[in-house]
Amino acid sequence: MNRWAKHVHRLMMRAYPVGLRREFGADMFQLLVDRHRRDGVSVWRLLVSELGDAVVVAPRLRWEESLMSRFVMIGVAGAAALLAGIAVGPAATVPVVAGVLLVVVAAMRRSQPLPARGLGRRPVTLLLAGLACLTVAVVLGLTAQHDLGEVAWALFTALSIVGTLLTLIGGVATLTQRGAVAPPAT
Amino acid sequence: MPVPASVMYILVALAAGEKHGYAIMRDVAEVSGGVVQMGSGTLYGSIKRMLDQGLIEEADERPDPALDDQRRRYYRLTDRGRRVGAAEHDRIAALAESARVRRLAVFGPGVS
Repeated sequence: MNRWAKHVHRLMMRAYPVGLRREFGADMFQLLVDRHRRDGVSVWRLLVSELGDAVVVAPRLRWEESLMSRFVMIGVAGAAALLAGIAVGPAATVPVVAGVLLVVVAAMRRSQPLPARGLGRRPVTLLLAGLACLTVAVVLGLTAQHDLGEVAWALFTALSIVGTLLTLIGGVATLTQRGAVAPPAT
Repeated sequence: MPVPASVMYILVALAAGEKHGYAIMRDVAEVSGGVVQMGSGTLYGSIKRMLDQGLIEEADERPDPALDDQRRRYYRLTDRGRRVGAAEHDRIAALAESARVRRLAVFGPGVS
């Protein structure tokens, strides 16, 4: 395998989801080397064949990976809605039911860890937004004491639920990003 | 539910024993009479999914460490993978039998 072939292969690998690249990138390159050395297939023919494979397979794998991540997010959101609903009380029947449904939907799918990269700074933004919502809710609650009006009560409830959801989702995603350790991608 | 063809080919390849990626690819080509040539994306995409689903697992020991590259990862069937493979075999066999009974295999297109 010459340097150019390696470079082209590395570029092609970018079509695949980051999870697959990290876990199997080296093995995928080794497979090419084996086919070249043991089967005597020319490097450029192998690369053309790999390109065809990538065009067909990579979009499907990317879709599957994003779908899996989505189900993790749905599960976390459901759990957060459930907790928030229980904390708020009987008035929060809708969030409780929605939370239970979301957790069930997520549990029916086999989940996998969130991708270590690819979310950018979004998790931190979500976390900060969630904490901001909770802060406003607490300030609102402390200011009004027990005399929350109807509008203020609705605002307090909404901020509490949204804040809890965003904090949990952002927190979990941030921790997952930082905790992820994987071999380098090829 | 029918198993995807690529997954079934890998199950069949590993039914004969532990194999690494290249050996699986060679076995699939051989079993299919050269019709199926798995690219690296198809192969490792399927392997990843099968690992996630518990159909296969990475083998800790190399069949013969002295003869092979230690960096290679070997895979083997799990009990679940063997059961799924057997169920898919039965499904395909039943389909083939139905085709035979209805004379699809005998009187196909171009056969008088």
